[in-house]
Amino acid sequence: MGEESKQPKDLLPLTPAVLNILLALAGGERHGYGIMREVREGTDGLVRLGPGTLYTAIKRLLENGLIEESDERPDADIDDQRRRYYRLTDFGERVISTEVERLEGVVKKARNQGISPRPGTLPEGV
Amino acid sequence: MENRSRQWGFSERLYRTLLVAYPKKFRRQYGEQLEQAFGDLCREEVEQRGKRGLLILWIRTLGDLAISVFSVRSGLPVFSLGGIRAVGMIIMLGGVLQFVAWTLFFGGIRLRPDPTSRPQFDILVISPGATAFPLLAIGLLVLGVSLARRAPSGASVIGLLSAVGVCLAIASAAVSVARILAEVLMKPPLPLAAGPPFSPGVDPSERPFGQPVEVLTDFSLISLLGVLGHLEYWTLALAGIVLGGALLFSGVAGRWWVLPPLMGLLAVPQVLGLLRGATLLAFVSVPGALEGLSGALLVPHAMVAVGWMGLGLLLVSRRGERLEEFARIS
Repeated sequence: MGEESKQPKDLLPLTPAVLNILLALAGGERHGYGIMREVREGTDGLVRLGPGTLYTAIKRLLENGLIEESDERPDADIDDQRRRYYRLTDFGERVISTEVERLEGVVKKARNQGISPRPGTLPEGV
Repeated sequence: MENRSRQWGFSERLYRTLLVAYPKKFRRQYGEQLEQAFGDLCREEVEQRGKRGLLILWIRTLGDLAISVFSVRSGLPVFSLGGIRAVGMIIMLGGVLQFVAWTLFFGGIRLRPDPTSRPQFDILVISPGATAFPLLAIGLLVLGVSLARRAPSGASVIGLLSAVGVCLAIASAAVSVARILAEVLMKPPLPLAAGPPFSPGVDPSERPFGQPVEVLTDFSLISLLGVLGHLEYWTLALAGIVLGGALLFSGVAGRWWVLPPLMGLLAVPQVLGLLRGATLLAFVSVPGALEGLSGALLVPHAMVAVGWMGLGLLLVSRRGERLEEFARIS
């Protein structure tokens, strides 16, 4: 898909949905419902991905080479249905690292302007 | 466990049916996973919140479905900033067309040398008026779907209002298209079609558009015709009010909060469409009253059209960016 011809910065800035999906996969390979749950819990409900949104995004991420299919196996915590797992590619790891670097730059600039977070504005960890 | 799975089994089957909206290739690749993910969400909601949770899930899912189907079929990321602005442009265009149509319609009735004739400009009136409603309905449909889809946790009222607004917009578009087809294909025009006010001094037995005289003597029938003849107006106006409320709840409108509900409230004067049916009988025989009525009806209709233009302008402006952030998915 021309992954080598693309640079991570070509795909920035990432949309909130894509960023959160990649962050969810940064913690390890997951299936679709696992990604949705991780994104919801990681943002304390602020970002909710529906199935259509998720798999539309997964389709694009696969096409752009940021993620790849892992394997198909049941999730013992849920049931015995076989589920397709996804994981980050090397390129995907580079993209999310670049995005985090960009966001750190934004935060640093904000701090320099005297902008700091107010306690209790957002849930812990968001 | 069996009882719980029965609770969402119907939902799963219904969702599987709705997946037909996606392209075949996408269904082949992701259909099973979509069903699985939805089933997992159903189980989670039922276990944690019962049937109420399932209802809220469906509201979100319908919006999610509409947005993602559009995205997959068009190949476009649905709500890039350009997308929201395009919605605004569509609504603005609908408002402009409606303004033009009403100005021609009511202004023409007053200025026409021979009010009983059906001159060419009636075609001009029908065209922008007929085009305006589907455009406005499409714009409201897309707006409503985006709001429904991003109804945040605990604010399902936005999702519910948006879903209602979407349904009303669809109904309006369907009726409007049906009326366009009826106007074009059927001769003489349907008696249910909302014709222009009748001119005083005209022989009651000869009416434009072929409405029989005896119709005018039946008050309840006039009112019914007035309502049916303006069905797309009602549904569109209601969609505007409902979605205006959803925008207000979302906080997106900011200090321009007055604009969306004001647009919806301005649609209330369109209730004159019903009153028009009821008062036609009285005005038919009063000289000059009809022209006065026409002029009076122009003002609220024109104001509604201006309201639509204002809503479109809001979406096109920088405030539309806030809605973009609110509704962005991928």
